[in-house]
Amino acid sequence: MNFDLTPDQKLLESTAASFVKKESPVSRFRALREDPVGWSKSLWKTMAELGWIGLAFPESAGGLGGSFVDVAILLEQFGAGLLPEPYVPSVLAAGTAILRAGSAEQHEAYLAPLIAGDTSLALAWAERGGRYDPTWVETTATKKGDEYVLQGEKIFVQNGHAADVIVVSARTAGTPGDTDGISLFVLPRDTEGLRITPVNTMDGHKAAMITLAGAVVPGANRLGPEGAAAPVLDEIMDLGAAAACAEGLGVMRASLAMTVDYLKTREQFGVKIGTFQALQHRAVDMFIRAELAKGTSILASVKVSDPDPAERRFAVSAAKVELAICGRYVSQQSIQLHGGIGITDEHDIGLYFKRMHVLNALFGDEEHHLARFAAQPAF
Amino acid sequence: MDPTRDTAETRDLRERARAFFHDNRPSDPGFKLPQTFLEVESEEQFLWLRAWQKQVYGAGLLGVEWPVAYGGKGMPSGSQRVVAEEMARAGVPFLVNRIGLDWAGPTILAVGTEEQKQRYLRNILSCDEVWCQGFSEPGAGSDLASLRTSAVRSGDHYVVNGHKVWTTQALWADFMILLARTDPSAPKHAGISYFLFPMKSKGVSVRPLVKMTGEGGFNQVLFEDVEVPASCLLAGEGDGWRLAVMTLAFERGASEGSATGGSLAAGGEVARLVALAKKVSRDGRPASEDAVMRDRIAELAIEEEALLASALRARVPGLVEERPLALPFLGKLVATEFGQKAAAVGQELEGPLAQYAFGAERAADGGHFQRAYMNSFGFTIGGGTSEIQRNLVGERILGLPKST
Repeated sequence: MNFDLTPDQKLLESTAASFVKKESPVSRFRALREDPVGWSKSLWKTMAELGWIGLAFPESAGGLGGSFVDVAILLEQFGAGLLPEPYVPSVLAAGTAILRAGSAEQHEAYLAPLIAGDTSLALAWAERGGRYDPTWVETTATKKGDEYVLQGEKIFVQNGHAADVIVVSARTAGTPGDTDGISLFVLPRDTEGLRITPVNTMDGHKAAMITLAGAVVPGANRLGPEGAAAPVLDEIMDLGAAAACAEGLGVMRASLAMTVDYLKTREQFGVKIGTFQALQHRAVDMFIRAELAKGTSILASVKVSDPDPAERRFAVSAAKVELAICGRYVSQQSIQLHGGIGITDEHDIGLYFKRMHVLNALFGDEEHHLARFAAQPAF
Repeated sequence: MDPTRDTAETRDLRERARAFFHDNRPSDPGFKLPQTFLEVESEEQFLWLRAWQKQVYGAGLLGVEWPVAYGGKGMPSGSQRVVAEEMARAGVPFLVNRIGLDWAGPTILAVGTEEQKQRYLRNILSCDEVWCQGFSEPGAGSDLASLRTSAVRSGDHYVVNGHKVWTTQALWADFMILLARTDPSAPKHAGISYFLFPMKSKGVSVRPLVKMTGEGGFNQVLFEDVEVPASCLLAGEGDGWRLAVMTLAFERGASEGSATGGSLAAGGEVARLVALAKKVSRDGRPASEDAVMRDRIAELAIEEEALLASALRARVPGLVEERPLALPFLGKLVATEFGQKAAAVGQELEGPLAQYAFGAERAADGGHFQRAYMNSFGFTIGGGTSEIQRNLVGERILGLPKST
């Protein structure tokens, strides 16, 4: 991560790198694949104590007032070690929803324990009919006196299986696809009528499918004015995509390093296979792709905080498309150059391959962002 | 923080540059202009382009990062790129003395004596003296260090004999950065020296080559017992390979020190594709409304964005120190291959019209893209082929063993 990191950011980068190396080597993630939660509450607490959760929030909300670039520095290191703790769903997705739409009381109630590392959160926005459109909300919230009754289904809720509190988008007016009429609600996980079904994603992480069967939510649990949540969700989609790009940099860097290392050690025909020009050029093309994606990712991490949504979308969509193209190339070649051992579960390279695959599917895939990029007025 | 935003200083320069290129856009010369500095083939083109560079220099927009003592403006690093961006934006002609500005000049600036700097640099900027490059030979292409042109010391001068090829602008050049072997008994890299060679010397002959576009631009240069003063040597005897590597780094896109801002990734091709897509039709509608064509162009636009972001990263001194070769090599490798792809998509937009030769009256956009496509190979081959670039990145950056 760079354009021009400050001394504080360089320190953050090296601290995070050595933390991941020491506390969360890939073997830890490998073991946690079998665990029903898939991440560790005590490590989450340590991350909070290091100030990493607070980094993403302004001081007015009890945070440390870092920038998204700071967060991206962390995420790149997390990606390099496949750290499974739910930073993006808790902090960037649900956390931003509460930060932007919530009141001071709601910040105190939900963000303070998150920043302290005592809770984790999730944001339930995706629905079966909507692909990557957060305004495709079929879930309804019907007002009954001081309460709302929620009815509907949400899919692939990241950290939904473990979150203490789930933020849910539901329609208080309008029809799927309308920008107006979407509201956000905070639901503790023991809310009656909230059914959480854990799902294992292909990369060894966990998520949840969620059903809302007449879940009753007090009016006080609504975040912000009724029906006005679309711009917040729009911003979160871009934050999530930029986060995937930052994490992807770490995944690509580790994949490339493992592959180059393999080329330098594996012998066939009596020589290191790294002496073969065909393989050297392939590795160089991996390097080129990783560097190109790095440029657009860094730019996205700067521009995602731009007050002008058009600037934000331009940079984020470009970066997410580049991540898809470059990440796919790097991870495909990393398996190919490892040869037979690369396709076994025993070797770590496959874990990186699968993470890259899921990163592409999170917060808009290549096709989604290419279409959004091409739809810009300037284009 | 946001590196795409101007500082107060660069904003001022940008405004001046924008106003200048807007007010002084040259009118149509009435003859065909070359697409890049590699295709200058006639004296009328050359003289016209030289006048244009003089005008840009006169406006204080060239060599802005070079020291004042040598005709520059002494502005901070990154300033020239602002001008380059405005030139690309305005779509004005290129600067003809590219080899002097970006290759010879920065090398002289880095290692020349005070006398050499005073003698050559200002005239490079003003275009009073034009430069060419004498590196490649018929028998020394990718394996440049096997070059055989010789320079034999004889009293206070050297006698040069040999044969150079792919010599851009040799027909008009006043000077050549010349690599010649001064010590045939030394190992091949060690016996090479680097000369600031006067082209108008007796015994130099230049023979033009014709490219597949039908254009000229490249030449062969023959040296027959050419006597040049010993003061033409840059640095010491035997330093030639080290200096050649430095020059090649500038050629491959290191922007630090170059007089034009090293604009390999200055962009502009995508905007041209979009304009063409709006003009040509597909299934009775403008091609710009066709989903497949939009995808093609959007992918290129995103790759162009990635190149620009890489160029921004290349400007960060910390990064350049960390991996000095990485970004220039990437710039050259990726930008030149990108140019080829963009030109190919341009021809797809044209459809059957892509069969027209460039310059044909009815060719779309004057046949810009078919010409750019053919010329793009000059860039993927010149300055070290893409394959040699990959070898270098593999060995020097990834630390892979030497290939066998």
